[in-house]
Amino acid sequence: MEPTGSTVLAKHATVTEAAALREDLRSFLVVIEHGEPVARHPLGLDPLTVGRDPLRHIVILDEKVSRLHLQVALLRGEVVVEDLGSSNGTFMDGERLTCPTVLPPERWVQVGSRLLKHERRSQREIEREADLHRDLEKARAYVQSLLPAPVRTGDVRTDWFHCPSAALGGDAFSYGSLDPEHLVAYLVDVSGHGVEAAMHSVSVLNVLRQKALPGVDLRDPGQVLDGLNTMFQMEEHGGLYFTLWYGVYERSSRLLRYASAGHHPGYLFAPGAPPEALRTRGLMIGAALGQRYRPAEASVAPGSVLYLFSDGAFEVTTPEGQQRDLAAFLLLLGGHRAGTLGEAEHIYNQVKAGARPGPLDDDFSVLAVSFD
Amino acid sequence: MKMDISEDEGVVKVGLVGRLDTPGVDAIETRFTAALVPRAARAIVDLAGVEFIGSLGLRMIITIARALHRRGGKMILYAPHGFVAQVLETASLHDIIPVQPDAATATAAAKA
Repeated sequence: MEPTGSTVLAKHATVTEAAALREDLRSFLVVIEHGEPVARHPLGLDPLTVGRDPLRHIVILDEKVSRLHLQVALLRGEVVVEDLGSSNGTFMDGERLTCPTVLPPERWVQVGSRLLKHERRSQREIEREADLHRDLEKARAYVQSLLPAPVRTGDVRTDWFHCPSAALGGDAFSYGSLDPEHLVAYLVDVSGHGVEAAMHSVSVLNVLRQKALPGVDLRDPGQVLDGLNTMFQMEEHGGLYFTLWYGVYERSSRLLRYASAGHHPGYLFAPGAPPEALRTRGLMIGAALGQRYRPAEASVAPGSVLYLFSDGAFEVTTPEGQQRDLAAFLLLLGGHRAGTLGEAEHIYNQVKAGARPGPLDDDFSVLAVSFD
Repeated sequence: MKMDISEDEGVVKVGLVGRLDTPGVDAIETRFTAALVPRAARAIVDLAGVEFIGSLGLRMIITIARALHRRGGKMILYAPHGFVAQVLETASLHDIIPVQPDAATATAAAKA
């Protein structure tokens, strides 16, 4: 069959575009720290020097990196790495470099704790990535804007810290008054993290914030979980489920009614008493229709602090590769800083200090609610 | 993440070893699903070698178990320990997927 004119034109345009793209490709050296790209340097006519000395083109502050460690040059279209007699060496595929070596696209060398990767990118790709990054930042700002401001005054105060493991995370939480007598606090943890988890957590948060669960009394934790489970079945929501802790505090009786769905307990620390684990048995939201979530209640003594947190707060890997657990995390709660401003961030810093370098494995959220 | 699949008297046994975190799930999910769901298998899943399970690991197991259930198959988990047993308990996974202590009881449950 003869090609139609339009087909020929389309092929011609595609070939032209591909040729243009090829011409536009440039080599970059990307510095990767803890698995994340932190800088991208274009390679040109002049070699780039790398080292600890502030005069180098690429400065790496790492005690295993020499003041002048290596140089990277573009020679006849190829990227060539040369170790300049460094003390601790430059490695490719686990082998120490002993002579100038070609670094092919998408490969890297290791220098101290950093990786230097060769990327071939067009200006158009770089601009696209920058656009995507800007969009992600906007989305992150939107998710952050849904989280309530800490409450610093009154008979019930709050403090929290939230840090997603990716640009966007699947954790979300909120609190506030349902009426003058009842306060609500909850924490949602969507399976996974990243954009799809964040979109789902925002949906859940907005349903609760807008009181959009038909026929549900938001003061009844069992009804709320039943309603969410009906609304958010996995099959209808991209295969995502979420865990949830939901509690309502009644001021006059000082009773906290709560229910949880696949979530570890919230912990209530009362002065002079051991921490009380607040959990009801229930499947995560979305995993099976027809679940009935039964609430429980706890008495809140004056001066108590309630902690809600995501599993990313305690499922942490140490620098030695060991898995930390809930018991270790609980030791960080209820100390002399309990209920004080900045306590949640202090907890995060302690968790981070005990974890391997780089972002935590999962999203981190801690919400502390203090009662007069 | 390592996965070993075998079959004995109509019951498919899936042995998992490693961490069911994001890379672990990525490594096995397609093969795991393809080995069980299209044939509506009666399957037992050995968790003795699993040292960590994250939310994506739970999601994979629930999704496959639900797909099997719809097709008339079933999935039984067995021998979780330590951290993994704790996570399954917290998630109340036993409410929808049976969890047995060992291979013999899991196989009997799969055949029932």
